[in-house]
Amino acid sequence: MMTKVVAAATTGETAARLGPTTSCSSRVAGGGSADGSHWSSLARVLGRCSFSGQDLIAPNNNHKGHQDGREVVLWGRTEETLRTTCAEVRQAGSDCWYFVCDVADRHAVYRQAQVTRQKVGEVTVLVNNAGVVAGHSLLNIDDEALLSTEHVNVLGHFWTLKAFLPSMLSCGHGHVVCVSSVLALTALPGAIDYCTSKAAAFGLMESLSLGLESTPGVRTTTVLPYLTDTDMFRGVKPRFSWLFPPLHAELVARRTVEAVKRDEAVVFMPRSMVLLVLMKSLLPQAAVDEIYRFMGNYTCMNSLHVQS
Amino acid sequence: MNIAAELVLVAFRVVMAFVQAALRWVFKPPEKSVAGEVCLVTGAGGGLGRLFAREFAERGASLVLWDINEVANEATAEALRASGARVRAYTCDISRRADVYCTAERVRAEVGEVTVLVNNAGVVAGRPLLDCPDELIERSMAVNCHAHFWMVKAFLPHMLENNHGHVVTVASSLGLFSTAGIEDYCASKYGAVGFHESLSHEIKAIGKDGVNTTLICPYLVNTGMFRGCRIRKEIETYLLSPLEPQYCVHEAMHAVLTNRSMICTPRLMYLVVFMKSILPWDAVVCIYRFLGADKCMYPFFAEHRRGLNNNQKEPWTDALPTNPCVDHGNADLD
Repeated sequence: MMTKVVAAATTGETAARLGPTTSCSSRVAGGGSADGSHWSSLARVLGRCSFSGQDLIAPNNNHKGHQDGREVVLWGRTEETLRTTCAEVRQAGSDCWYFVCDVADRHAVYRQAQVTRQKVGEVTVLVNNAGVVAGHSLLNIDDEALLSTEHVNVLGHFWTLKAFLPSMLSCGHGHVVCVSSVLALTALPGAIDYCTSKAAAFGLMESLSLGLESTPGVRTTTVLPYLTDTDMFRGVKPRFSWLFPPLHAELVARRTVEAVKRDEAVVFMPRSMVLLVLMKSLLPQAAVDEIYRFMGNYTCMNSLHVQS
Repeated sequence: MNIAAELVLVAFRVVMAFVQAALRWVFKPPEKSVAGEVCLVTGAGGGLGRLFAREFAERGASLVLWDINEVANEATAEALRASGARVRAYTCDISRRADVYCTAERVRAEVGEVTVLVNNAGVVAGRPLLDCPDELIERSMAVNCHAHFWMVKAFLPHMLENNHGHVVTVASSLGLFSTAGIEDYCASKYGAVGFHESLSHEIKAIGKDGVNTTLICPYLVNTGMFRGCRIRKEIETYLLSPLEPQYCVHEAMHAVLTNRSMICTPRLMYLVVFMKSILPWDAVVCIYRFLGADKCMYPFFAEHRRGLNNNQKEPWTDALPTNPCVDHGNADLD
């Protein structure tokens, strides 16, 4: 059976390069092969600048066995970067389309979703990766920038879900990936817009995944990476970066795809970040504050170079 | 200071934090006075907002009441004035930042600087994601989450300048853990919790120890907002029944007046939060299912739909004020 993976990745320096994936759990409506190497799904990755657009697609070029057709759909705001990424994906052996779309604009989302459906087909794997950050303390942040972060990082997820989830549900087959952040659960000063939005996206996905428990064919994965070495948080200086080095974007992307294949619902990267969440639920607030201060969390965002 | 010395100092402070927490638990700290403070409560027209306003009024604070529902807000104001409190009521749609800033200016001019801000207003769409109109999703996010940005931006600068103030965020236990079908509300409350946490750290990072923050995460409260919501009957009867609003506000007030950073009501919620942080997701889902918490909102959706079919007014879409900054408070505070 011809499997189709359509992944939409938005623009940015690390644009998407979704290639053929290695064995994936099969989610073919009406049955599937036990070894999971067929992936009759259309994956869509939305992302801008942050790691996974490009890298979610990149590492999966070690495809062996079933070289099924894969179709990748890229969504983003910058056509040039979309085009570049598209070319790279095609070189990697997959079909690729791109559509210019700002996920903050729900009318654009619905319109481009319709176009995607007509030109490519039904999307069955959706990766909500788009993210922006204004990166200031609350009183220094421009209101429009604040709202923009909320609209891209949270409301955009609502619109893409509304656009693509119904068909997943009617086929009983699909996967939604949300790229959140460890800052969703352990907020820091200096990026209040980002922390709020990532927390909201996490809440959305939790509620969604509980609702999808009654539709076993449609799964969710929420990824919560620590600081990654992309342009989005360039300049951020954690105090003990030798202990907690920024993650490589490719590694995050690879881990994300593995999580999707294994139907893991929540993925912390690195896994040790779950200890941070645990610590927060056990320690008195004053103790948490002291530890944050010692770790340099109160100053690490001061050197953030915010992209335009 | 070298790193080893700093590490020792941090370890000592962490231990002291535990000691202080234990002492607070044993010897209840005294409640601070709010007499003379100017306390602003959003969503004061009903539910918890009205009770918060009353609590602060009883303790001698001057009240500024904000609500989108002019009639309900004025009813709260009248009841408080009757008991001798100094109250001003303003009709304001906090989902519109221009409204917030404009009304905040009027409050500053007519009342004075707000020193206690209670971000209590909240709405819920009452429908699962795929059945929910986009406008209601936007509204939930705008009122429950984004409004906090504008409110705090309007009133925090003065608190920081004087190093005196208190910001109270009334979130929900659904900001710490979720349930099915209520994506808009969960997203907005998780956002409010994330916002509050980040804000608290920002205030501490600049050393303003006179400005306190308190996060309130109540479990289901019997205000009618989630009428019909049900967890498993046995659990609901013996362990986790919906909270009485008075009890919830009483606990919250105690947390605020003792400068606690966070309170979950009832305390059993702390266990749920801990469980979530330690268990794998599939185990958490099993436990939710056992408690009947995973789909507890479904009866609420059904009741909500029935109510609308019976021509019940769509909640939270009361006519917006045509003139922002309409003031219907007429009592001077002096």
